[in-house]
Amino acid sequence: MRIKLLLATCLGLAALVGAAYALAATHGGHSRTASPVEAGIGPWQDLDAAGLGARALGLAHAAGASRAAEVAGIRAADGSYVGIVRDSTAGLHFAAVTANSQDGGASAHLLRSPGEIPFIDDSLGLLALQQTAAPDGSVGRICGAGIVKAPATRARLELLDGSTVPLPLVDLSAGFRGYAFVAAEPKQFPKAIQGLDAAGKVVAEFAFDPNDHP
Amino acid sequence: MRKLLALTAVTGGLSLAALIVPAAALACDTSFWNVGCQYYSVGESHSAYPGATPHNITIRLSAESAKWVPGKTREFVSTSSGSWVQTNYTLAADDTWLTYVGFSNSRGGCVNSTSENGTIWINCATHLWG
Repeated sequence: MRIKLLLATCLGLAALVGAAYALAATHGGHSRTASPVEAGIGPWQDLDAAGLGARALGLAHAAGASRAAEVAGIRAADGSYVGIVRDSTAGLHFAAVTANSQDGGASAHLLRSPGEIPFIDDSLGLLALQQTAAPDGSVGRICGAGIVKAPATRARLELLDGSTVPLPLVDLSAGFRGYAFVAAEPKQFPKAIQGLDAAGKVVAEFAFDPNDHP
Repeated sequence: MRKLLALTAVTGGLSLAALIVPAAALACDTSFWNVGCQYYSVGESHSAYPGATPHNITIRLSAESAKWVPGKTREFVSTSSGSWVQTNYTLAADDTWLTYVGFSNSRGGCVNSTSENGTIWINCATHLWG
């Protein structure tokens, strides 16, 4: 009886280990497949301690961010960065900051209050939407950041191949939520940023031609 | 009589032009708006060289607010020879973009995107900063 119990326990444990291994292998396989869009915006950090680099940090301050400002953003696989700067020292203000690791470029718009941001369909706002040239002169990368507000409670990208990618949101306070993304796969560039309501209906859309450039 | 008719025609033409030309055009100070102030047709772009060497430049685009829509206008940075490097959609009818570019002697400019039809009046400027 004891031997049977021991055998059953061992078989159960083996099954559990096997299942866990199979699950890990499946997830590992997924992680090896490069996503066409990186959109996992991180938590708020002190702007000066977020490791933006001197140029991007200098730009954020030049754009109006005080020493009390915070930033939440994405460090892409290629080392580039896009984030949202939030500063509440003189009322709530936002801006996007970007840094390109390949050529050392960085950029920012001036900080704006929510009332200064034109909301598309009253619920989707842009803080940045940038294209960067590839060596052959085509569009090599697109990054963006922005805001949604009610009735939009979610955001997503529609890609050139027709698929959609959900955009994780970070709470900006006062009912605003922020998104950011980096896209570096030209065949799957985003062609629209969409705001969705709680029922999943698209209530706001900014459509653009990702491959059009000056 | 002919002189009177001609004078009337000229005066009328000037009055009509004053009505058509937007306020931004009347306010165009080319010492600041160094790229210029003009109508941009679809796909049209203009740029200027803000000065030697520094990598920090600003681009300011001020468009007719009544006609401005997101996605219609963009600011851009190019090399000294005019090859584009980076663009950014303007966030509002009056928008300033600060950029650091990893090469010297860059140009800054404005473009009327092809994503929307129609012409739009744009005041555009680029300057060094920092």
